[in-house]
Amino acid sequence: MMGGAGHRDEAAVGERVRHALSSVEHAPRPSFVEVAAGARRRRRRDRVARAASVAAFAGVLMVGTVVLVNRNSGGASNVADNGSATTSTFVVSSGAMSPTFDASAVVTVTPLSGDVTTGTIVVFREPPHTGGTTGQMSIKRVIAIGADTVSAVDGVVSVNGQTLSEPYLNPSCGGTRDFGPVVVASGQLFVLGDTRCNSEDSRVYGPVDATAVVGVVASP
Amino acid sequence: MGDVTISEPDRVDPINQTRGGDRSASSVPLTFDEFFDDGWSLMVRLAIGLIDDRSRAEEIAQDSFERALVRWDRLDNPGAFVRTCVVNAARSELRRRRVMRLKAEPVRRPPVGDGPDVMLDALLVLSPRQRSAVVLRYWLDLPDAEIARLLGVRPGTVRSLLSRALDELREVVEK
Repeated sequence: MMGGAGHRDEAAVGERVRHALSSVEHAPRPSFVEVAAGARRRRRRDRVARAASVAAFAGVLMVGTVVLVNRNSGGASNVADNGSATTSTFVVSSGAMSPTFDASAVVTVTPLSGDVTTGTIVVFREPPHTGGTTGQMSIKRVIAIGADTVSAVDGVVSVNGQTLSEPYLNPSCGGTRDFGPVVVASGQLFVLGDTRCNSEDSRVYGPVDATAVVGVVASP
Repeated sequence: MGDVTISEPDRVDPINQTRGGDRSASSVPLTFDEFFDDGWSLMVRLAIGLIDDRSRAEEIAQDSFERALVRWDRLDNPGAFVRTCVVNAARSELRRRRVMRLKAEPVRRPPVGDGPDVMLDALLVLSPRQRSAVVLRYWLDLPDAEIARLLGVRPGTVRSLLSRALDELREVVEK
């Protein structure tokens, strides 16, 4: 193998391999446009996969917190221009708003115009709190607004002394564990998740500044 | 086994690591269009050499260039990147197929003659690893160490793969 004959053989084989492959007919080079389109598809796929893995990871870490992944990050393709207001889309990645929105539900969010009314569902940045992630986006229902007093007695929530009818609650929780009373300051919102027994909300981090609200969620 | 150099002045492949395609070593930055234009034929034929299905080989080559375009700005050596993509895609293709073929693998003898197709048929008699080693050595002129890296084996294994492959192929050239 290492002798002169071996080298001659190797050279001959190499030459034949080169010649054989050089003579192979193959399709012409695809157009640049075609490859660029393929690359765009790939980038999109990668982004979706990344968002999904982030959402799954966050969902595992933060049971009870609704984590939102903004689908619009990194591209404007999903932002629909809705008249003067721009809506955006979020993916809900935990079950704290169940049964209204289950994990992996897609919600459309419209920017806040005017005051928030109780009963609406909002997307907002969570205030800093123990065990939370700074600036984590969350989705909850507004229960009380500025100057209201809110509490839960015997599993039922009351605002300003009036019991609240809450047909949207997750029935498996059997109501709301007692809390309060809490007086909500002006410019603040008291928010709760619909799965009362597994939701990290204003009972944990207190009322939320209205300025932290990203937008109002359209009804499912 | 000594290195064999066959001079072919007409064959210029900037995509080949041994002759450029390494942007860090090149004074003129390569645009993707140029790179794609220069490298297409070389990479398609590499894929055809690695697997025997031409249309699948073309898909593999196109996929690999798409992958390079996705991260074009971050690639120091796009030639090596595309080459690795092609080799990996061909290997997984072969792995998939081997599972299907294991039951009834026909015994093939190397065909004899001197047309280019005869050599291509002869390559198919080799095991996938032997064939990969032969194609990477003679089509891309890669050194043992790089072939070893691409195939995930030790350099010594590459040498023995090549030596056994040559024993098989010698029969074809000698006739």
